[in-house]
Amino acid sequence: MKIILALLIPLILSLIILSTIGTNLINTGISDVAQDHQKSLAFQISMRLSDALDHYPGYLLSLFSDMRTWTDSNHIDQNINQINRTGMDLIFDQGIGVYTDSGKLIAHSSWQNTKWENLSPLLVKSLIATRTAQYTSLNKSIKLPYLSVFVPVITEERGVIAIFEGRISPEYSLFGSRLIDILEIESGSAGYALLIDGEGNILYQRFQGDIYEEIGSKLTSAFQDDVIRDTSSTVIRNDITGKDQFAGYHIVPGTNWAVIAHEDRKAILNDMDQYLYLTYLLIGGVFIVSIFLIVLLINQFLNPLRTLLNGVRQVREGILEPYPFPPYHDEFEVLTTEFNRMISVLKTSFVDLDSSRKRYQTILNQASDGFILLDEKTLSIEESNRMSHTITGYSANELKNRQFVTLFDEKDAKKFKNIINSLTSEGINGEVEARLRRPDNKQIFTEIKITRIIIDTISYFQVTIRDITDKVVAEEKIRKGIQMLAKNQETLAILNDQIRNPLMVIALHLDGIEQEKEKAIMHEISRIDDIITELDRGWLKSDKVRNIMKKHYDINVEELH
Amino acid sequence: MQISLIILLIIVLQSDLILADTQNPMDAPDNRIILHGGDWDSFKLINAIASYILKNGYGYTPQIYPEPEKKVSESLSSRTVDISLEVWKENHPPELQNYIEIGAIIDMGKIYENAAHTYIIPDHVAQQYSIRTMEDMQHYWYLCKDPEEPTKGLFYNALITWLVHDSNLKKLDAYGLSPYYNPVTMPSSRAYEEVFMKAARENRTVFGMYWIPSAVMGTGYWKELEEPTLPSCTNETILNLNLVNANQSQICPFTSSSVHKLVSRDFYDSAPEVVSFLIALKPDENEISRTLTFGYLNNISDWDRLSEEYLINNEEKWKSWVSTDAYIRIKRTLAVNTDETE
Repeated sequence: MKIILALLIPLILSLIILSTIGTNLINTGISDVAQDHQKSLAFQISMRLSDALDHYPGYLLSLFSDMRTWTDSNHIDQNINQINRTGMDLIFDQGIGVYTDSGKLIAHSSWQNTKWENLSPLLVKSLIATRTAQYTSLNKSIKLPYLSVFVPVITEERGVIAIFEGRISPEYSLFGSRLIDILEIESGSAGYALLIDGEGNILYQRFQGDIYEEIGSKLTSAFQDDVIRDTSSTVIRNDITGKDQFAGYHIVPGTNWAVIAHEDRKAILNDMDQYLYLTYLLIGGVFIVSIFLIVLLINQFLNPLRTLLNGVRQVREGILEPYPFPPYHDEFEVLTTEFNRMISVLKTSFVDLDSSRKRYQTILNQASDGFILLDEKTLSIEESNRMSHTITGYSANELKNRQFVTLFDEKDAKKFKNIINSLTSEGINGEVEARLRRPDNKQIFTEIKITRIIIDTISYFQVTIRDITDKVVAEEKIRKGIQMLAKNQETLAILNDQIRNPLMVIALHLDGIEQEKEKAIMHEISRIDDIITELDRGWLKSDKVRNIMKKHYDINVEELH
Repeated sequence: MQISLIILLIIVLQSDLILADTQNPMDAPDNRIILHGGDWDSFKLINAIASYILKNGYGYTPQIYPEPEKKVSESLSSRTVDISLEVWKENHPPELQNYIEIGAIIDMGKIYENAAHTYIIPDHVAQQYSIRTMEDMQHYWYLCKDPEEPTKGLFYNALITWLVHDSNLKKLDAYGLSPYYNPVTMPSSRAYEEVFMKAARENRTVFGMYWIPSAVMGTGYWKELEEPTLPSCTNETILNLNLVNANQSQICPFTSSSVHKLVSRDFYDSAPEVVSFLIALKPDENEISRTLTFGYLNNISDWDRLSEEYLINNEEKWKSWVSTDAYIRIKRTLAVNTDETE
């Protein structure tokens, strides 16, 4: 399960990260393309508008084609008030005015009740300087807002000789109908195009698609932001829809008007969206393939692995029998076969090992000495053989982990520790006789030999312990016997000296004594001497015995005295 | 414990249902009726008339909810609005008919018998030049010259966002008028109306498409032109409610439009007396047009005031739409308001 999770979680996380990054990258790309497209759209519409606006100054000039009569106000009035026949009132529906080159009003139409006055010097100066027609912003000071187109009348000889003004209601004039057609978004798509004047007034707006009709009024106010108007060509974000949406912005050449245009991304970027969907499809495909691979992995790898782990677990539990693996027809077949073969070999090895162990255990247990293995640092008992149990009187379990020194009298324990210290510091094996107190409180004499051994890089002290109680008792008896012998010898020596000397004196004093008596005394003296000789021989034998004993049992002569 | 709660809940629900059944809308805490609102005058007027009747005759509180025409299917099916009184079914995609067929929206029948889009020129011009059909206009383009291109006439088309706008362009092609006329797309419905009303006022010649009922058609200044029936247009396609949308290549003459009253399913089930009124509601389109013209000429922008004008002048008509009690209440309110106005 953990392995599955370990595979699935990184996979899913990777897919999520990849999906997010991929989608963001594509969206960023699409956004860039969308931004460029909106810019391009605004540019194209503004160019079309510019072309259309070029015609209107010409329409005004066409009303006064006879330049020779332009100063004749009566003639001008006649011209102005007859433009109904030409239909120009449908374009300049809010009236027409004529000014001198200094901006003084000469004449104006009278079919609309609008206010007329002289032109501002600034406007006149600009018209004379640029010699091109100028479109104004929306004049909203009256009930029916209008915009004006000012056209300088230019002759080759005299330059600007007059200025014409055509007033246009964006909503009601034919001018508006033409421009609304030009503000066209690509047919069939959704979007909007707005024409705004220099003051941010919406002159025309064209929406295509339900969503824009709904948000039209809000959108209009959003596009009156200074940031938009102050930027010559840029891409802005529309917060009205709450989505990342961009609109192109472009000044209409020859005017201070601008176009804001947007075409819905879904409509213009179908291809890009298709790539996006393709990416989603690919990610989905990768996900499905990954799931398939995981299932495959589980079936082909994880399940056999789990079975193999069960086999290992069986071995760990000490069951050294071949595990019943199902048949695999791949590398797992080899692996499981080898595993079971390994188990068989292992089992044989264990049997051999156990047999060896038993043999060595038997040998060890048959030994007449006790063998104890001590931990080097703690001096606690690690292992012990049967004889050590016999000697100490403790069972194997009782000895296990027991401090070895606690088996001995405190006095002997010190000797033991000294030997350990010298063994540790100088590496000299030690030997000591110590009195061991058994659990029944009986004290025995032991002979202990300590050596240092290393098993698998771990140092131990190996202790050989031997019960020498009988030996010690025998030695004591011998020692006492020798002492007794020495005492007897001393007695004999005394006896020899104190008997033989008087005998010599007696023998010296026999001259003169009856022969028979002398003979009888001499006989008795000889017999006593023989007895003393026998005693001397006994002494000599005792002395030999004593010397041998002294030699072999290391008894000082002094001790014997 | 749970059983007690369930019993209590049932009692509460039943008491609510009983109250709802017996409650007079006049006393109801929330007796609003949401009417779908549009941006054309006949719709505004019919909404004002219906609102007047619902408010003063039945005690409801009508509210106008302006929404794009194209969203009416969704709005009615989701009960964002309860009623839409002027649905030009030809202008809608098939989804609307689907909603009606599955019962999510209930069709209360036509509101006008002879509402229609139509091509018009001044009647006196038609008489002078014996103009009767659209094809005749091929010869009289000079009567309404385009000042920007004087070799062609002007044809006043609808607003760019209206479905009929594109249909008109195709018809101009089909009737052989495209070479003679430049279509004029109207920037706004006000400008659209103003073009024709100004022409009527100033006795000018304007050629274009308009519709009945409307203030323009209420002037009596216009002649409706006949459209030829093209071979591709069969009776079946004429009857196709979604003629323009389904296949714009099939151009058929404008016929009497299917302008219907639609209500949401929930509303239909919950307000039977209003449903009866809505079924009966069927003003004459010419009366509506005349009232709109009256409003235009008298500069009346208050639709409530204009609805009163209609109700005063067409009492016998609306009397048949409402119950006797409602009639008495409406009549009394009209009298009081009229006295106050005078």
